[in-house]
Amino acid sequence: MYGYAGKILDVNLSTGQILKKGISPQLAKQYLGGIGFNARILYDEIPVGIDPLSEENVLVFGVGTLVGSPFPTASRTEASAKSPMTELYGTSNSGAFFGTQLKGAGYDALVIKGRALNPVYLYIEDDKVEIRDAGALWGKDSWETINILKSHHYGAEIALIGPAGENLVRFASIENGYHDGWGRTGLGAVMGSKLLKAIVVRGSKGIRPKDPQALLKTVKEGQDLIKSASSYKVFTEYGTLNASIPYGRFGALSAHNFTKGTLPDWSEKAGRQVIDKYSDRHIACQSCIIACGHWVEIKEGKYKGLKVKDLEITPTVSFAATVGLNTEATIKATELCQKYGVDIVSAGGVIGFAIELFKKGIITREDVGYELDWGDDDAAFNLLEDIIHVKGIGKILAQGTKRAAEYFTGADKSAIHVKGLEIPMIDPRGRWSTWTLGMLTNIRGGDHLRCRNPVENLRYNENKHDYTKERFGFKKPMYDKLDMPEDLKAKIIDLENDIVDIAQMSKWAEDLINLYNAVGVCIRPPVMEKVGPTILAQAYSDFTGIKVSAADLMLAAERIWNLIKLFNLREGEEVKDITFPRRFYEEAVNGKVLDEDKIKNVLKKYYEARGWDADTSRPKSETLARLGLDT
Amino acid sequence: MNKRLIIHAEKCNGCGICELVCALSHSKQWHPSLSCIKITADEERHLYFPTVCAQCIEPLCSTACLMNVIQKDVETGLTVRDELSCIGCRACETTCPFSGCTYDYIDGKVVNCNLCQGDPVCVKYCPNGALEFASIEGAAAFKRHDSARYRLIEIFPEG
Amino acid sequence: MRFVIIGNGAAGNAAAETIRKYDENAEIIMFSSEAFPEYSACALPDYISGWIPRSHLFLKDYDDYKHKQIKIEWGQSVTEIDTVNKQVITEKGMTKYDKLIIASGSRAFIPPINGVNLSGNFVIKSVSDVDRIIEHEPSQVVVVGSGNIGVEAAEALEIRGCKVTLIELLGRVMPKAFDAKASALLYKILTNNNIRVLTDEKVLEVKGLKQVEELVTNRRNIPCDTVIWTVGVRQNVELAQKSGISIGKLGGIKVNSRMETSQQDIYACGDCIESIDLLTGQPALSLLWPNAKRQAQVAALNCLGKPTEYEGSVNIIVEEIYDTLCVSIGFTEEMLSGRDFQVIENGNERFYYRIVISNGLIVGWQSIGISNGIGTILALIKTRTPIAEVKRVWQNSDLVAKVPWYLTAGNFLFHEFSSI
Repeated sequence: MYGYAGKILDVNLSTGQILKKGISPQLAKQYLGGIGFNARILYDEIPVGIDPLSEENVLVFGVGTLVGSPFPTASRTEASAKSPMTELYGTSNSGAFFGTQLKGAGYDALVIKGRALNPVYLYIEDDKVEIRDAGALWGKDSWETINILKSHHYGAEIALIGPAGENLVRFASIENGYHDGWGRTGLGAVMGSKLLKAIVVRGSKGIRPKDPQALLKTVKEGQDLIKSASSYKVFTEYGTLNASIPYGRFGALSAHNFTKGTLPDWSEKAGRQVIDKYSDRHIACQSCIIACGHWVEIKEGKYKGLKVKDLEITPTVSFAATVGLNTEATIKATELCQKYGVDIVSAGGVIGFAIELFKKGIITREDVGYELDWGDDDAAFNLLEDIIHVKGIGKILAQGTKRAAEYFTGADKSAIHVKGLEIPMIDPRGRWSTWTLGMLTNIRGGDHLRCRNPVENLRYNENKHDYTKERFGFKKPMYDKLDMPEDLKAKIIDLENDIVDIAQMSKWAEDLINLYNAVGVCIRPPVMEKVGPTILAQAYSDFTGIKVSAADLMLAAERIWNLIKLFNLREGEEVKDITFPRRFYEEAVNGKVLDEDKIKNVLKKYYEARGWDADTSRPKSETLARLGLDT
Repeated sequence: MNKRLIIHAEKCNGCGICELVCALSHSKQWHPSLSCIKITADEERHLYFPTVCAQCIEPLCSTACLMNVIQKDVETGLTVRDELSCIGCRACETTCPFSGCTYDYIDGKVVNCNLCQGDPVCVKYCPNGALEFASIEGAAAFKRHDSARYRLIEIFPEG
Repeated sequence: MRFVIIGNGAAGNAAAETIRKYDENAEIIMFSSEAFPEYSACALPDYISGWIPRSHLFLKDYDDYKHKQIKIEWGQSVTEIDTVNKQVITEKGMTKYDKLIIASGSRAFIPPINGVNLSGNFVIKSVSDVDRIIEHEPSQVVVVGSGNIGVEAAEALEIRGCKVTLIELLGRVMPKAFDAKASALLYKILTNNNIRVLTDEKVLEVKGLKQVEELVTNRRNIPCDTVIWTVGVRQNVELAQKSGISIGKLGGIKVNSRMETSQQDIYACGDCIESIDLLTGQPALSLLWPNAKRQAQVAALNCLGKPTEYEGSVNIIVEEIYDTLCVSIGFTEEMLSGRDFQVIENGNERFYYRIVISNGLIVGWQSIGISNGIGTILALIKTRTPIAEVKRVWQNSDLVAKVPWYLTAGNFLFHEFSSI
């Protein structure tokens, strides 16, 4: 096989059985790779209604198709399982170098089933696949574990859980090396429930492109495209933190558990200048030409000596806004989350939730053991430790805000989640856009990473059209260059009136991001703006030799999204769950609330755009037929 | 040809694109171990530096070669190999101070950078400007070839 | 100017090529005791194993000498050097020289014990040796001596399909290259590949009627049909000695740092000389291909009137044994006993290495399973760079960015490895 490694590795920890299955051209063309393979496998192999922390759950790592090629940003691997947080499809995506090694070992996907008797780690080196004892590693934090495993298995990449995953904290993450991870939806708890501490993988097999010369040309084209993006330069310098100030200005931050739109000291602690102060080096993932990661060092003060990859917007907002910590404590929070192996967004959300309850008197000093307050880093980190070790009130909080709220009367008002997954970063009351609709329509719950207008404009914050439209904000050249079929473009973007149809753009954006997660490229704004299905189809064809068109790829992405929706429906997702927390409709921030009816209305438009039933959100039979999902 | 690969190691961030495109153009497949340019890493400090054959004027690999297959090309001045005669003993790989020799595990031979016939592909694809293909008339660039012969204290005097 | 070179091995040819490179018109005459064009003795085991065909051993063909205008006398041994009249004498006659380079090499040594004259006893030094071994169709083989040639021979014969026993007098495999831990790893690689390795064992005699049938050690009798002796070499210095040229204490021709012997206009290089160790400055034997070539280069340059100093030799042994690279450079811990030394070592499933340090300088390296970055350590050894200096640069990311290859060396020296 060209482009693909050609095999799916299937490991059953209960029986010890190790299978290597081939990949059919049918599977490749219909589901591409990455999240596509994951979705197909999970839909086929997870029985309905199981407990996500039981041995019947299946965890899959799907490497993006283009990983192994120098196509810019082709580094990503998707991990999926049934989520302990939402009890629906749980999934997360991570870059760095894990996918490179897994694919180089000969596997496009790794499927993990069952449960081991004792803590184990999986060792993969090309054809050699071994389940090894991890008793000596169990209990160690992720950095220490990596040091040991990397010393022993020099040159390998490691996916692993920290103490949070071991203790079945529901929002535990799977860490990807020291500083990256599959953070959201609690996949770390799934891995912990299987007593799987780590996956160590090292690959030395070559991957052959069908047409190396054509691929190199496409790579150059891709590099030039991304470099021409309007956001390229600022992104290479300041990374994701570029969005932090605009969102502060919009009053659309998650400050103090979504009770305030912003904080008075926001620009001091989250503006670009903090990058200049704490970082002098960029970090790249495999094949990336942006290198948005920052290598951060704190040279003095309370957290002197701390070195970590950080100062991205998500951790910054999760801790500096939601919890109210200062910059250095925010950096420390990132380090702790990486070491403990816990989702930064959900951790921030849970801690913010707890502080709010404390301030309201719903939980007391007796319940916690100490005082909690906004911005108190010692308290926040004590609480985080209690959560990781499921001690005291940590035992309750470790279940996520949705479940924890059930323990305390009146707490549900403070639980800010959609479908059980904490909402990150943006307060839709402050700014409504395709991005915020995406938090509702996201297959994984309250999340900001599966839907984003590729030509989003951060300069404007208007909400004139009942949530159904947002401002385009660009001139014709941007419209012309956007890689979207012309007829669809005309429907979605009204250039004359400078507006974008949010419902239809959401569908496009979700499918596009799904495509990214299938072929393995990164969703950073410079890429989203410029890399569309046309060049991806070219890269895919050059790499695998399987001829596809841009429309084929978008159809595959739509197919994958719909399959995951079917999974969710099968697991009991209902339309009534697809709603924001009551707070957004009932409590004003800067005088603004969301209009529930108008939200319902734009959701209906979204379902129509998707070819789903407007009342039940179930994909219509003609849609499933069109996508080949009707069997 | 008096242009050589000049490495600005401080600009490297370890993205690995140079390794991929080098391997792809030489052996039609990807694997970092088939690349003539290699990235050394110190993960703890997040340091990444590319190293490649320095095209030494008096190459140590040539002396070490147990089959005498490494010579200097009279016209281009590059370190070239008679690849057919190489038996893959790896003595050159062990001797090179720049990690400039690459063992091709598929063919069982050792190769080194040949500057892609004057248009090095790694330079074209590096996004960070860490690789430059330029004339070595300037003293600083030239010194690199011999810098392995000097003690570090001569290159970086203290104080 | 006429340059006469005795020897057609690595050193002889390197000298000839260096002379020709700098002087198009020089008259070069070589005397080769063998009738073969230059071949790589190091590659002989690869021919035994079948990795390369016989033709691949030769680095030149007969025409190459003509093309380089090198006059070469085949199969002629020089019997006398007349230093007064500046001429060399063979059975065919006399040849005058302006400058003479002795590159007479060494010969394999077989201890004078019973049975070594039986058919089936071999050494591995020349192409003819290997031709004879192959013709003999070895099946049950004993290789005596686990130096680098012995270990390579054992592997080559096992790959060829023979049943192989490797015998070593001292307590471990390749004792002069590896200390105990590295040697133990090598032992495992050999035994995992069905080679029987016997250490601490002494060969007493070889038995058989007309050919080798059995080898007797101080512990057991080993039935066999072939004995390969790889116990060492003797330097071919008799000619030089006879001619009044000084021989050193270690048995090699004495030369200064310009490869000049005690006789005017006579130089020497390669296996036959006593070299100077780069690290200690003391006389040392350095019977390795790359050192021979470098010495020959130096000798030739000095012959040509381009004064060049030899920097001294470093022992570098590189073996690829069953796809695992085993490397030894400089001094082992054992060689330093009695002196102050320090060892940095690390190992895991994939590899093992140790760095031997004396007086703050790296004096030795051993590794099993490492391929990348050894040259960076070798450069530090050869430039006699103190560890403290390496650390100063390695710790400073701005400095090490200017000498990026030293990041690898620094990682070997200073990186902390954790164990499970």
